[in-house]
Amino acid sequence: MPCSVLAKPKDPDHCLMYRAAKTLLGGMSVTLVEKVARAKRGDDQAFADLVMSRQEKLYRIAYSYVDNREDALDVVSETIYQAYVSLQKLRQDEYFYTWLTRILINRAINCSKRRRTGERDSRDIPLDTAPTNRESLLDLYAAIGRLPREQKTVVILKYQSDLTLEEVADVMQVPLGTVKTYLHRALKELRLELKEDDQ
Amino acid sequence: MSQSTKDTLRQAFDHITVAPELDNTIRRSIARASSRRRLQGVLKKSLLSVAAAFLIFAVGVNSLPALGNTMEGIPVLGRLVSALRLDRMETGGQITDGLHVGPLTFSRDTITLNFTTGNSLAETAPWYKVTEHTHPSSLIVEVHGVRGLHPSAINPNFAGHAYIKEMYRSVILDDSALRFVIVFNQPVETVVRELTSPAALQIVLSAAPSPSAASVYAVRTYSQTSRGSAGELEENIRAALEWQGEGVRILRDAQGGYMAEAGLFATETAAQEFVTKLRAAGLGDTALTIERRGPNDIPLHLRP
Repeated sequence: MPCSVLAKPKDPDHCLMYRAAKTLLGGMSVTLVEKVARAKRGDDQAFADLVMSRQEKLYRIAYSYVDNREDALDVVSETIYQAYVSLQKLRQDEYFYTWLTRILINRAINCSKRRRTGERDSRDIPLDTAPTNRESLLDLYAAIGRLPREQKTVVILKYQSDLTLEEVADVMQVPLGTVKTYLHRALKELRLELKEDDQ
Repeated sequence: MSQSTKDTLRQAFDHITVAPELDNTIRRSIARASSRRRLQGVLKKSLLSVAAAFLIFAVGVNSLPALGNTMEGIPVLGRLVSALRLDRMETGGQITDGLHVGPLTFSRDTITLNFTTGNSLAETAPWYKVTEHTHPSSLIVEVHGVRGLHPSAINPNFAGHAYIKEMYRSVILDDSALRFVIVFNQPVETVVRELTSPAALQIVLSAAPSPSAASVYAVRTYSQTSRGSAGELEENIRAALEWQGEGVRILRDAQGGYMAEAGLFATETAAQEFVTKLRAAGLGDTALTIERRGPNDIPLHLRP
């Protein structure tokens, strides 16, 4: 029986391709690829496992664009729905999360265009945050909110989601150099907005 | 950019409180998408029979002038984008601006809402949300990115209809959105179909087994003479519930007035507790009352 990296073979120890992929990608990545393959075959639980493990991160990215709880939930909900119904179109299973994040960002940008207010809901900052920090956070959110869309996306993905610049480039489907330029401009803009000196 | 601000940027992300309903929201989305996939499987199997029916129809229209004349003025149906059995809420469509809602047509089991732009039918449906409600059995249809309404959608006459008691325009405090209420005279199952080229939203109805006939206790405002006042009261209630009140709605009462409703409860005690909670949340100035209502009852006209 032919073996592949997509599905675990009956006898994994004797399948060179599977073993090589497992070594190269690490156990977690193979699990991801296996789960995506299972989800593509109609396994709802595998799909649920994939998205549930990242649910908080997805929500926070969505929230960073739309600034309120209801819209953030809508964005996540529609993202999950769209990802499920178009999963067969995903060509490289190992890029599932990159692909999912791209859908999420497009949805969030569309949603932020039609929402009525541009102010972040201060109720969604934890109550135990000190008042001065609370003010700083609101200023910071407002400054990020005023950035051009591409710069804002880089800041959210780089600093708020901890993606590497290469991963940010994958999500945004732009060259790495462009991401670096966006980041440089965004930081410069934020520095001006927050009237802060370089160290 | 100092290191502390970069750290703050990182920490800002963790400061976003995750909504407690996130888990349920995701599970509902997966269930909704899974149901669509199953339905598409059924639709594929039905393709041959649909093709055969279409062939018979095409022959009929071309060979019988009377049938052809009858079809004039009714927009042709577009390509199916989705067809989903409604489970509490369904959303879809695209972000649009300035479309007109209508013309509206209906048959025994289907309401079809087309959309126009200028003098032609729109290609894609605007963003919509359809939610299911009980007491009375009803749907609330919201359409966003629209500006006008075709006369056929203003007060359609459903007298004698198998499922629909009435359909009326409700209010939404957004000048680029419209909201409608469709009230049924019995419990129904609903399939929401979205079509493209031309765009249409179809609501397909079938009889549902009767659920429990128990009455409920509705927490609501008194009747208002204008829709606008009811809209403001609805916003106040939503704000008091921190925009999380899924059961909040506006309904027309038995005498044509409008009222905002905060929620339905199985017991009067639970309803009373909810009133207390709303008042504590800053809704003290808004007069609320409790109405006992049967599954098919239209809300009473209540004045203070």
